[in-house]
Amino acid sequence: MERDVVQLLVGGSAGSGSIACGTILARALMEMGYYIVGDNEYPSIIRGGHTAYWVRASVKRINEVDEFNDLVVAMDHETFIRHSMEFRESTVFILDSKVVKPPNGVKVIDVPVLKLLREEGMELVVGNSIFSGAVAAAIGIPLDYVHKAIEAQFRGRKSVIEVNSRAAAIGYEYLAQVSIDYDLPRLKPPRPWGPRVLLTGNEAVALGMAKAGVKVYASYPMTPASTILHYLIGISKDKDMAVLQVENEIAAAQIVAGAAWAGVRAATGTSGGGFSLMVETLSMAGMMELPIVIVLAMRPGPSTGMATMSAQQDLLFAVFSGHGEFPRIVVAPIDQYDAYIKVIEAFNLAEKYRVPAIILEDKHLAEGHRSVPVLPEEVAIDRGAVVPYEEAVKLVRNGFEYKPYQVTKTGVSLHISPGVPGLVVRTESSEHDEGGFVTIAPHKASEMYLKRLRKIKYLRKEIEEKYKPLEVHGVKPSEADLLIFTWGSSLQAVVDAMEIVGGELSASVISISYLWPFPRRRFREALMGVKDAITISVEHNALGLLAKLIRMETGFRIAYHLGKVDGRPFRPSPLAEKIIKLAKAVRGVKHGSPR
Amino acid sequence: MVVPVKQPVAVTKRTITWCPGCGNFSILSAFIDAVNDLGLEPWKVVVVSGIGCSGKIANYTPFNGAHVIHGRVIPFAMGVKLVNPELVVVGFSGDGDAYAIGIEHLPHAIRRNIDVKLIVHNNKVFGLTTGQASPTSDKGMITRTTPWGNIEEPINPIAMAISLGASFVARGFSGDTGHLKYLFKEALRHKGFSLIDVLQPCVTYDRVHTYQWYRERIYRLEDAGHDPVNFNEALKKAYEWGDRIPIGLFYRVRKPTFEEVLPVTSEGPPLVVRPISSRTIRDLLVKNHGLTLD
Ligand SMILES: Cc1ncc(C[n+]2csc(CCOP(=O)(O)OP(=O)(O)O)c2C)c(N)n1
Ligand code: SF4
Ligand SMILES: [Mg+2]
Repeated sequence: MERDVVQLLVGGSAGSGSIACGTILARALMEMGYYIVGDNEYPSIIRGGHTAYWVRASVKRINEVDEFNDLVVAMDHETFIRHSMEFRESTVFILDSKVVKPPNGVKVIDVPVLKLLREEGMELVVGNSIFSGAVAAAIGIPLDYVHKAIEAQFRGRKSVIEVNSRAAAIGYEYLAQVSIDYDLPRLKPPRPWGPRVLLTGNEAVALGMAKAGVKVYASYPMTPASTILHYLIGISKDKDMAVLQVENEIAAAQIVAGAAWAGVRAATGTSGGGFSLMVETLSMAGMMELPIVIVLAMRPGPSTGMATMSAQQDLLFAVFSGHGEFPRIVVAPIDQYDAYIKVIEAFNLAEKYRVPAIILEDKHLAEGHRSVPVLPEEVAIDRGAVVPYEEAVKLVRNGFEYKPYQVTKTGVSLHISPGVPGLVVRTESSEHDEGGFVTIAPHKASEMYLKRLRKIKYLRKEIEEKYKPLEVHGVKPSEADLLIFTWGSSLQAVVDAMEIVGGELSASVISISYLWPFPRRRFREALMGVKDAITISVEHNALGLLAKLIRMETGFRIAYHLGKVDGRPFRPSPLAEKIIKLAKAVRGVKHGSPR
Repeated sequence: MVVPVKQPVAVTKRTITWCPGCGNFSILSAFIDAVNDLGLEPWKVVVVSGIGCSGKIANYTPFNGAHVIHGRVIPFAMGVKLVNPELVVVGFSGDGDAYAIGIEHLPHAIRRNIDVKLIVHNNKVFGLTTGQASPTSDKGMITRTTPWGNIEEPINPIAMAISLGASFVARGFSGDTGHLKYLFKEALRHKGFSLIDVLQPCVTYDRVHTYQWYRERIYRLEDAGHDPVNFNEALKKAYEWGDRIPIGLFYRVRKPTFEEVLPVTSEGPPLVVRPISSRTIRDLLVKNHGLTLD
């Protein structure tokens, strides 16, 4: 029977190529015209351990990988153990029975990968491509699409492409001639769909930086942010971008601060541990009014936590880290496409208001795949308060009296970088006067402190009026029985879960992407006329950090929290079940009333 | 009782808050003189200083100034230099700033050979925080935090820098301003990472290493016929400390700098004057992500 949605899982030991196999299938399905979401899981181990890649393909838009897999490639026995909750009776397993012994009673297609490799004189490493070909034949992906996906996967590496394509063809042909006596999960023909690309969140972030005109990216490798560094290194050589791996995150953030002061767009990326080391620089950027951009790709903590897993535990850390009070931007993209947009917006806002910006991703978004429309070329690039070099030269020649920290109504001062003939500029990490000289004079100190903080008001207003700080899905909040609050990549599972919840409850989902300065007015407007709805925050943490932030900023109390701390992102079906259970248990309970 | 003294005023019209007699004064004047002697324009010079008595210098120099946080002179300066290699970027640190909290950056700046000069006001104590021990405090030295004598070995910044492969390593002395100016000029002329460790008496918190103490021991390498091209000889001289203390240029070698080698900065105008280079994303999507457009 043909279906709207099919989900595949490729499981294998680290180094087996299960993620490459899954990615190739995802790409081939996308090229055919299906909507794709991909997720992966791997341990912090280079060889051994278990890795998995999930592909969910659909004829219509879907948002998140779900719990059950229709077809599973089992390259190791762990696949049966780790994912035992993800199988149904109808699940079909493709495996080599010489390598993996399936449990009794499951539907198996035996592909003798080892034997085929031996016969063809091929290396073990391309076994995963035999599986790619076999899966393609099983679910109806024409071989051409697999070849094309292999080319995209191993771009430029001719011999690798050649041998993997050959392996895929062998797998394809083998499967095409075995007789299978049960239903295979086949997709309905795809709907016409514009050109799409398969992107991870980090690729989108890197592309956003390339679009935004970043000239310096300095970083210290840390999962799940490292792939931004890898991607940018790959595209930097002939272009105006210095991409550096440096001694630690302290240096990375400081180099970025120096570069921003010297006049270019500069960024760094890390995870929570590295961000901890950047905090002193964040505070310095607050004082010096430097528009540094930090990508904080979250993984579970505390400490080293689970290095390759996902979480949303650092929201309040991003919002409140750094000594002293100073304005900053914290923005959390909801998907890969949004990541590209938000990076560009973050630079525009940071430079307009001369404040640091933090882009909050999580591992699930940073390394997960999605088929997205071609990223827009026409985006606004606005350097705001940064006076371009040539203009500064002219201004100074014409006798412009420049004060780097000029007190203004909005608190924003123009920035001229060092190197302009006839002008000497200053910046100071201690409290300073308008010229950038140290001061402890009480009036001056207060004036300067408040000058910086004044920006928050204007920044918030701009975000509220010109940007999209929050989104509402589902019914209007005023008509909802159920109000769900979420942020970042968790929105995707929530939206699909609400589809599953369906008619049982009239639900509204509020997703907030500009988290700081908090869009208070837009939040209140969104909730105008809300009835006695059940309020739940769905976040990938234990304590409901968004709910706390909302309470603090608006007084609105969210009664319930559905969290998760196992490092694995939400999946729609189990989430829907939890929401229904919770809603049934508390139906009629009023929000906001003291309990 | 402390008799109020009239505090000196810097060319930047800021009151200089160093103690009278502090070794920092001659570092300040020698540096300004060195820049002027070389005819460098003030707007081309960037002073990046850390936190400490030493760090205040950025407020007193008539050049571009960034007074950054404790220990972060090197990476901040590196960011500036990368973006605009036409600027002369000079860092000023204390011994605490450069060799305690900020030590992690030093070997890497040396490995990169980024063209940043680092002048260390080495007064063997934490001056600004009222006289605690520093990584260069001598063994046995009495400080606020070593009342029974320092039990740790001091580090040897000169030997460390030479052995790490620094391309310019010198030691100056605050009591010899003329020689200090000469060293600064040599460093400013040099292309590559330069360390100039300056023996700078702290007249308030170090009663042992006074000007007199140093004068009795110091000799100039330049007078002793030392050849700064000779690595082994330089390293040998670096270990000389005690009755005789060498000052001067220990070692100098010209090798490619970071910004000369990094493709993006190796040619063309400085990054800061290049137009904002917004990339055509479609090209990248085609090249890197297999996008096909019909
Ligand atoms: C992160 C941090 N830790 C501690 C301090 C306090 N502090 C200020 S200056 C200083 C040490 C200064 O010693 P040194 O670098 O030798 O400079 P000097 O005052 O001797 O010139 C310390 C510990 C600080 N400003 N920042
Ligand atoms: S405390 Fe020492 S180093 Fe600091 S200004 Fe006074 S004499 Fe100079
Ligand atoms: Mg000191």
